[in-house]
Amino acid sequence: MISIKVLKPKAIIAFMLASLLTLTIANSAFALLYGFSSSMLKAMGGLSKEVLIIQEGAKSIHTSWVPLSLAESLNKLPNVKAKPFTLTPSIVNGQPVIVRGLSILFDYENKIIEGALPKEDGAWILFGEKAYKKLRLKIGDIIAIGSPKNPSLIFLIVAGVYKLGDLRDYEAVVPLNLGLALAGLPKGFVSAIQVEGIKKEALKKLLEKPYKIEIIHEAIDGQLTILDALSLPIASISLKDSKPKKLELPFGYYTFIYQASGLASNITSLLLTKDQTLNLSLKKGLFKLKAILPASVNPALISESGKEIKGFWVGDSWLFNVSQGAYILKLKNSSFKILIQGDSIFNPAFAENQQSLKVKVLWRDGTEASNYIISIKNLNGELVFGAESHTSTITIPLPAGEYEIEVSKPPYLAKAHVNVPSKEIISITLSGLSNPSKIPLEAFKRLKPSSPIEASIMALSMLIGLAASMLLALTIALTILSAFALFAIYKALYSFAKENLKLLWMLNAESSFIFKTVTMPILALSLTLSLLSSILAFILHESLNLSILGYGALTLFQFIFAYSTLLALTSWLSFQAEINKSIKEGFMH
Amino acid sequence: MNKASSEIALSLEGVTKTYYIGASKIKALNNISLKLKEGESLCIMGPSGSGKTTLLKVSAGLLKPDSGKVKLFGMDIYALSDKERIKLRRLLTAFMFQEDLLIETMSIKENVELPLIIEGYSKEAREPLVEKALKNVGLENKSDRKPSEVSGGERRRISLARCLVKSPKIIFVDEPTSNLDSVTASAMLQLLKELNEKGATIILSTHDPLVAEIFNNIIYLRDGLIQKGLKIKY
Repeated sequence: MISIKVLKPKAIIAFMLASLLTLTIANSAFALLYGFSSSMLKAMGGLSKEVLIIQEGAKSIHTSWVPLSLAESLNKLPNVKAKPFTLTPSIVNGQPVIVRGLSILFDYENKIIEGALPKEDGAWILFGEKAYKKLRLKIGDIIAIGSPKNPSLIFLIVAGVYKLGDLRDYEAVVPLNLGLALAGLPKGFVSAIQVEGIKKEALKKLLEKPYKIEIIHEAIDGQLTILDALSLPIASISLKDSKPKKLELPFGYYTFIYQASGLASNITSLLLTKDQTLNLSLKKGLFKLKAILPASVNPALISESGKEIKGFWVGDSWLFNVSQGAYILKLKNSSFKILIQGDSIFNPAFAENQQSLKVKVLWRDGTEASNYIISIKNLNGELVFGAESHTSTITIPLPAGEYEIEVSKPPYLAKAHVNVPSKEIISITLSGLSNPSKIPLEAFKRLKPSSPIEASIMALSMLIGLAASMLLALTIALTILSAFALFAIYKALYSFAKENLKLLWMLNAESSFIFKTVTMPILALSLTLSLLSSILAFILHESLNLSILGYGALTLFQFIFAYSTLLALTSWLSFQAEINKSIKEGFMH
Repeated sequence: MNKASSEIALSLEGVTKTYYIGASKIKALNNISLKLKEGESLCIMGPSGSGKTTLLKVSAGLLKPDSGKVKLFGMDIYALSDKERIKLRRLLTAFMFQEDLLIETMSIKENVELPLIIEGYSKEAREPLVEKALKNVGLENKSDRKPSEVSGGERRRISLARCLVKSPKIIFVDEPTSNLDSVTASAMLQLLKELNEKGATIILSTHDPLVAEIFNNIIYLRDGLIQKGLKIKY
């Protein structure tokens, strides 16, 4: 025990207490700092091989708008997997929880520890283990959830609890449509898309500019409507003159539909990854013509060459296999000219129709909206009418029946259910023009594929806001101060022992003797203190259960211990260096 | 390594040591040369700041001079490596410091046995040597006390016992009577004289004329220079 006597027992006790306290503070600060930063990295939900698409310039992932159709389009690329999601700070039982809206729950399969993973969309919510414990919930509880973007409460049933072992354990998961509602995102937009199977640079190149499409066609009566990957109409072009039509569209999967009176033909679908020319006249092959007629009618379809094509009754309509070209459909008392460009649906009720529907599209403030796309689908979801309107009011010829009207002025989409005939003007209100720059093309230009790390850095500085920045600054300051304090403690230990060390040296003790009897035991003591303080810091960290916006600071004991050991070792080395210097200088300084 | 001489215990040849304090330069030793045979004693006298302690430390191998040679039993100690010099010091010398350099948390016995612990002696080997050293200085009955529990004179004797415990050939003693009353100082000098008579070479520094009366060789230092030659019988 010569080392204790040389270093003085009181000095050692003071050293132990001061070191333990300082190391515990440093470790706690580190645990918090490491916990939050690693939490943020994990919050972005990515593995290093994944790319995250967020809106460039968005202040956080919560305010990012990314078109959902982009995810659908990316999934058409070979070996690419795109997972759209929303991420919204929400309030459950008065406590903040980050709610993730997902359409694919693949990551959560086999991770349910209580309850069950719902098979389909509905009014359910899954909780991460940490959030579940914090909120003291039970499976089957009905919770009310709200968010700053959607103040009206949504009631959901707690369906299950998952444990992924990362930050998502602090979150809750809802179906994507509920996530969209909570995020206050317009239909067709999500917060971000996680993409696997494509490199960031390749994705950036794909998204950086729009592609040109040139449509070559003959002068025909009708419209060409273009649907995005979610089957939402995004453009409508009149084909009345034969001039080639030029369009610019971002990367995506598009469907081109030819529409004429009573006819809707699916011409083609394509994944737009380069400039393309679309020749409507060159379309070859057999198409299906579906004529909406009763079984008793027994229609006759005559080609331009006078050949009659046989039709089949398929339960709700007559089906003909036809090639591209013009046909005459003969009924008992009437006949119709039909131009086939692709798989088509023909409803003679439209052609014969004397009814019409008047639709007026307004903004929320009552002002008239223009330049929107209106599409009408029957109850089977089949498109029966689509047009781009440059005026607020449009009159549409429609036979009697029930229809769904969709008015699209991206990113806004409004729907209405109508019964024709209707004497009233159908008024459709778009939700509001809060950010007119977010039309799809603009949105695509602003998309930014980032690595999860880049996105996390952005999120770390912006997501958690000023409070977290202050916390971050505080923890960094605490860490630095603790390191300085620790150096000072070791320096003080040296100062207390200096006279005795000098005596050992004057009694001809070699440096190896001083190392063995003094500095080695201090090294052992330092490592023990480092372990003890790590345990204390870990317990403190776990029991305080600190969180920002519902995210806890996930930390690992081994990291705290490694950090603590590094601090203790560095301080011990400074102690050892001080002794060596004194020995070299003969304790003269 | 120089060949050892059996006759000359200590020799200094043209030893110079200068201290630099800020811009000022203090020549503590200025071209000092002297020789001392084994079994002799040397008393270095001079006022405070004359270079007595520096000469003692340089001679003992604790402070490297700027120039000149210091030989212990014929070996040029500053030509040796640090490690070799420490071994040689351990083998031949002991140093009694002016200040009571004792470890207050250790007992008197533990303080005395410290040089033996450093040397790696076993506990069994240490015990009789410590006992003998304590007996020599008359502290055998107070061996378990702490240094803070004894008088100033006794503290000085603990230091002396620590010097004697390894029976060194040369003992360097820095101001043995400073801060001691005349009776205690006299007893301390008596002890040193007895040691010298038993064959130990003793070199001590003092400004106390009483000390100089007891020892056979005296030199006077002033501003780092020897004022009177060796072998002056007082």
